[in-house]
Formats: sequence, structure tokens, C-alpha cells
Amino acid sequence: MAYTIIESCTGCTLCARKCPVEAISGERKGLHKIDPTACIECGVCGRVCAFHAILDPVGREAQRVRPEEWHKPVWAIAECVSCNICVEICPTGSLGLWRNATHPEAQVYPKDAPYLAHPETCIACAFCARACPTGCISMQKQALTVG
Amino acid sequence: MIKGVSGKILWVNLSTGTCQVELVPEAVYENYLAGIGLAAYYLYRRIPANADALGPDNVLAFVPGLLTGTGAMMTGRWMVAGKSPLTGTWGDANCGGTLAPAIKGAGYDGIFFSGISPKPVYLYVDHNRAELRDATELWGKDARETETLIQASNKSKPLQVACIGQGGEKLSLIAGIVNDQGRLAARSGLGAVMGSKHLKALAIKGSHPVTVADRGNLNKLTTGFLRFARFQPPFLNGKGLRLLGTVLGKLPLTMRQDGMLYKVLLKKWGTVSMNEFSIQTGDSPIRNWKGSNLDFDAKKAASINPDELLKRQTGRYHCYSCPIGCGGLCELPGLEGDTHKPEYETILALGGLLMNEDVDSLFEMNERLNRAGIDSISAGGVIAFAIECFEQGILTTADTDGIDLKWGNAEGITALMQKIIAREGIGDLLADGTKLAAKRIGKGSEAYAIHAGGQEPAMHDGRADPGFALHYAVEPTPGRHTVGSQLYYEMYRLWKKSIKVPKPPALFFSKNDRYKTDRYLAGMAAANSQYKMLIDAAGLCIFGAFIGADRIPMFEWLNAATGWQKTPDEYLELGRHISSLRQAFNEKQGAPLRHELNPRLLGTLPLTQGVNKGRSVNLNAMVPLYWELMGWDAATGQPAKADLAFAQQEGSV
Repeated sequence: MAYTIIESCTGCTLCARKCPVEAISGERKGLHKIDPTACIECGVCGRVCAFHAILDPVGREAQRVRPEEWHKPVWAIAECVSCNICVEICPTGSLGLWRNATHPEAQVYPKDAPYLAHPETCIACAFCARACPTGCISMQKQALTVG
Repeated sequence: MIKGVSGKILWVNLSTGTCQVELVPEAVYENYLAGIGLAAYYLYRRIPANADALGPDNVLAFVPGLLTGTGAMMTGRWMVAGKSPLTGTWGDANCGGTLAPAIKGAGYDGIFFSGISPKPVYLYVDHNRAELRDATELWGKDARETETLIQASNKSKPLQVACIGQGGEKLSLIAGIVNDQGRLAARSGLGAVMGSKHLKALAIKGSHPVTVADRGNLNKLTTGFLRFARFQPPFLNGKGLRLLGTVLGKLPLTMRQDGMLYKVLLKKWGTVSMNEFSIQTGDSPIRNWKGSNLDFDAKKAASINPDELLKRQTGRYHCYSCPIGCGGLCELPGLEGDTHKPEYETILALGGLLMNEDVDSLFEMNERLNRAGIDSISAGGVIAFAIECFEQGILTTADTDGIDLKWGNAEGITALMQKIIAREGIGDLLADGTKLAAKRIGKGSEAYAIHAGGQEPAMHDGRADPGFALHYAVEPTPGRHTVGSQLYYEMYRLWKKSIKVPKPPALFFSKNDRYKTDRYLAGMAAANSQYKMLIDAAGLCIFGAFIGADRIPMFEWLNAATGWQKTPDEYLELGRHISSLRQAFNEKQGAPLRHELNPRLLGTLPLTQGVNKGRSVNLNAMVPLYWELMGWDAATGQPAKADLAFAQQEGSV
């Protein structure tokens, strides 16, 4: 199963540029196509498409969400066991460990715990929240923005 | 198709430079699961008889576990397998770090390399492509530089890298493969196989979520396991651990061990928690297996007290999917970035085995060996061999380029280690392990070459736990400590899941019972071997397995991930089949089915002092019993034909 693109696509290329796994191809101003074997169903193509041209894996039209409205991960850090599953599953490499953070706030967190190191590249796919074995990640509109 | 796997493997022919996807029939998973079982199936079938381990015919497999990426915990191990150039047998090695989820996330259940590349290359894999890239610029770089340079060439999601350092490049037969800036799949000399293929590295990224058959149940099992992972009462300090070891070492009775205790120690200190404890109980070999706890006494070992080592730690290191985090990151003067905290094996191999109490030298040698991608257990073993040869007058300063090779001389030991890495002078002679070094030196030096079937055994003494000695001799990959022992069996708690395996009769028992030859002890060893194959097929960490089969739900996770409804006994039978296949691999390669051990490992001439005083192990009657209980020929160790029927089928399966 994968996301698909329909005729209303204008070839604006935004989805192809946002796709974290380069699954979308097409000429500028031409109909784009999603490679179903490469698609990881993160849904970012649908969230950015302004032309109602993306269908989700069950065939529903994906809803556009303005980037400032995207929900991003927040950790209930006391529940986190630092297993790094979220860091590895993140398709954009937006998560890091506090030990590598330079922000002064980093001192108060366990060094081996994860955080949203690059909020600007997070595509709000919620892979991290779904994969977290402790359920300590919630997707919230206001995410931490330190790095 | 079952869930939890992708059903695809990647074949890379280095001679032709081509990458090809192969579909794996479901029956292969049914018979051999994934991970080490998948590797055993293809390597048995595709490596021709009597292959040159460093030639084009050898196949090198990188496999994650069946449970990797499914949401099961402590299942992020990756296994590398091939014919070992060190032992001439089946070779495998196992590592945590970050590579396993990347292979699975890129959509593969394994990556297999054949042939030899005409020039240095590395394999790049992501969701859309698998291609060989030029590594001429990387050749000659150490493992940390290699990983950093490859990652710098990549945008967005970080690449996970496994690579060789100078050890593998220079075909040192004790070279391993390095991941995440210094975690090693160290054993069996498979780094040299990578070097012989001119394959510098694998660089992989992938984010394909792994689909499972019963997500709800799998998550519920994980939540149940987390209760045990989180249990962490305040515990003894480092000194108290040493005293506990002393008391346990002296008592004539011993007690069945519960792995929850070890889990607590691992979470607090990591594997170094065992440093002084193991010396006191006789588990750690001292002075090339000829010394005892009295030679490396509490005063000498004070520098490797776990509390002392923890002072250098700046943070914990967790492998993928691990809630324990037994690794540590430390600062090392002169090094930019962190160094991995040396593990118990490294500290004892370069410490007690060499009578070296200089803890700074241990940190430095650990980092250098990690960068070079050389197995620290074998490095310690071969340096101990050289020192004893020096002591006996077989080697002199004329042979060592002036290095004064004395027990405990940290400066000399470090200098020799550097020569081994660079293969310079005497280092060239020693870089292939003790067995070959003794053959090259001659003059009776074989007596000091402590190896099992060509591989230096780990820092666990079979004279203290004869289970180690048995596994060193009978496993298809000899000299390995990560399969079983009597202590491991107690911690695995398999009898809680299966009525077919031996159940320990009492909580307390005489230490002399450990040295018996009987079906009970042989049955424990057979169960260990079978269970370890499942652990490596699932990608489970052995430290997770130590928590106990009734607490870490590996069998149940496997069912929830795949959709199977197999019982633990059915899984153990699959584990037996995987072990049979590895044994058949050795038979096909003309390798011995029982491995030769240096008599010192068995206490043939028992120690005259210390906690292991007077202890010796006789395997001659145990090995046939073990073979029988593995379903193999009790006289020869050959696996039964029925075990191999599936793998020997003609055709494309």
C-alpha cells in the first residue's frame, strides 16, 4: 500500500521535494508519480499538496495542513527508556540525543534521551510516536524548539 | 507471507559490481527463521566445499534479526557470518549499535557479499538504490574516520555504517567489523574477509516500518517486559561486589543465579560490573591462563573497580531498542568526541591476562583497537602469548625491536599492540592470532598459544564453569563465550517455558556437581546451543536473554510478529536445525567437528593456587553426550541427514 497522485496534480514539485525517501518523480508542471515500493506512507506529500492531488493508501483524499499547524513530538521524559527506537525510525533524521545538544536546556535532560533536534525538518509523520514502546511520545502543536 | 520480515535479501557480487534482489521463499523462514538461520541456509548452500576464506568463493552475510524493528525490545543485534579465516570453520560475530534497524528499514532481511572487488568500494543502500561506490579515498583510514567521512557525504537521515579499519585492510585474522564509532562484531576474523573482498564499508539508511501480524499483542508483551527492564533497586557498590565475589569463590556450595541481578548490575555499571567479581570467582583468566586471583589481587585490580571506571563515564550508550544501556561513553584526553567505555572482555584481556593494572592504557588500547577494527579478546590473547614467549626466552628484544615484553609493562604492551595494528616487525607475525603465531615461531611456543580451534577464548574460564569449556570445544564456531555455560543456563530459565529441557533440582548445590559427566549437564549445553541460535535468529541481545525466558517474551514476540503459533519446544527444534546446519557447514568445509583446546583451558595440569586450584575438566565423555542430545552422531558429531533435508534440496529454494 502507498499514497498515490491523481490528475489534479499541477507538477509544482513540492511533494517530491518534501518526500524523505525520494519516492516521488515527475517533470515540473507534469503529473507526478509515487513509487509504491519506496513509499513509507509518512503522508507528507498529502500534508503539503495544495491541489487535492494526493490519495492516502485507502483512497481518501489527503488533507492539506499548513506547516505551522503540524503536530510534532514531545516526550514525557520520565517514561522514556532511551531505547532510541524513535531516533532510528525517523525518516528525516530530525531526532537526536540530548548529549549532542548545545542548547543550555540540554543540561536538565538525561544525556541518553532523545529530543527533536531539527524541528525544521520534522514532517509530522508521527512514526516516532507510533513506534515508541513506552508510549511516552505525544504529537503536539507546540513542540520543543531547542537544538 | 509471514509478517515481521520483508522476504527479500540483497546479493552483492563484488567481482562484477552488481547488486541483485533475491526473494526468500516463506519455507526458508519456516525452517530457519531469519538472522543467523537465514545466513546459515544461504552460506551452507552457496559457499563451495573447501573454499578459501579470503578468496572470492567465501560469502559474507550481514543479517538483522527477525524481531529487529518490530517493536520488540533488545532486538537490535546484527550478525555477520562467513567462513572464518581464523578457524577455518563456520564464523559469525554479533554486534549491537545501529546497523540492524537500518538494514531492516531499507527493506532487506540480509545483505550477502560474494566475489572480490578489483578496487576498494563501499556499499550504499537506501530506499531506492543499492550501489557500490568508490572507496579509494577511504582505504587506509581508521574506522572512526571512515564512518565520519561517509556520513559527511550524506544529507538528511544519517547513514548507519559498518566498516573495517587497518586490521581488516591488512588481512589481520583477528580483525572485526566496526559500527557506530567503536562497537565491534569482533570475533571469527570476519574483518579480514571484508578486507580480502576490498569492501571497506556498508552505509545504509531506511525507514520502512516493519509490519507485524498482531500489533496489539506485540505491544502488550513489550509493556509487560518493560516492568522487568525498569526494575532497578539501589544496589551494592563496586567494593561490595568484589567482596561478594570473594565469598562466592570460597564457598563450597554455589547458588543458582538469577539474571535479574545481572540486569541490575548491567544497568548501573555495564559489563565492567563483573571485573573484580569475576577475578574473585575464578571466571577471569589471569597471566595467560596460568595465574590466579592471587596473582592479580584486590590491590592490583583496584584500578578496574566498576565505581572507578564509572567516574570516567560521561553518559550511557544504548544500542538500538535497548532500555538497559549497558554501554558507556567516556572522554579520552587528546580525542575529539567520545570513546566507548571498554567492556569487561577488553579490560580483562588487556588487563588481568597481561597483569596490566594501568587503567589509562586500557582506555587508550581500547580506542586504538576499535579504530583499527581488531578484536580486543584476541589481541589480549596474542600479546599474552608473546609475553610468555619472551619470559621463556623464545622471543628476545632482538625479535621485538627492543620492546621489553614483561607482564604488566603497559608501555611495552601498548607498543606491541601498535605493531600488531600496523603489522610491523613482530606485529606482522602476531596479527593472525596465537595459533598461527606459534606455528611461525616454533621452538615449543605452541604450549603458550591459548586457543580453541584457532580462536583465542574469551575471558571466561572453563575451570570455574566447565560449561564454557564444553562450548569452546563443540560449537561450530569455536572459542566463543556468547553461547552457553552452566551459569548462562541458570539465567536463561528455559525450563519455565519447556518441559523438555533439564530443570535445576535445587537452588543450592555443591560446586563439585559442575564437574560431573552426565546427561543433565550435557542436556543443559544442548539447550543452550539451541536457544542461542534462536536468540541470533531473532536478533535478541544475549543480555536480554539472561533476564530469563519467562520475563523476556522472545517466543511470544516471534509469534506476534510473524503470525505463527509455534510453541517454545517447536522453536527450540528450529534452533537445533540451525546449529545442525552450521555443523554441516564445517563438515562440508573439511573443518573439525570437535575443536582442539590448549590443555591449559581444561586444567589438564591444574593450577596450584587460587580459587581454581586443583580444578580440571575432562570433555572426552561429555562431547559424545552433547552430540547425542543435539541429535548428532555420538561418535563423530555429524548432524543427522533429516536435519539437513530442507537445506540440501535441489533447485532455487
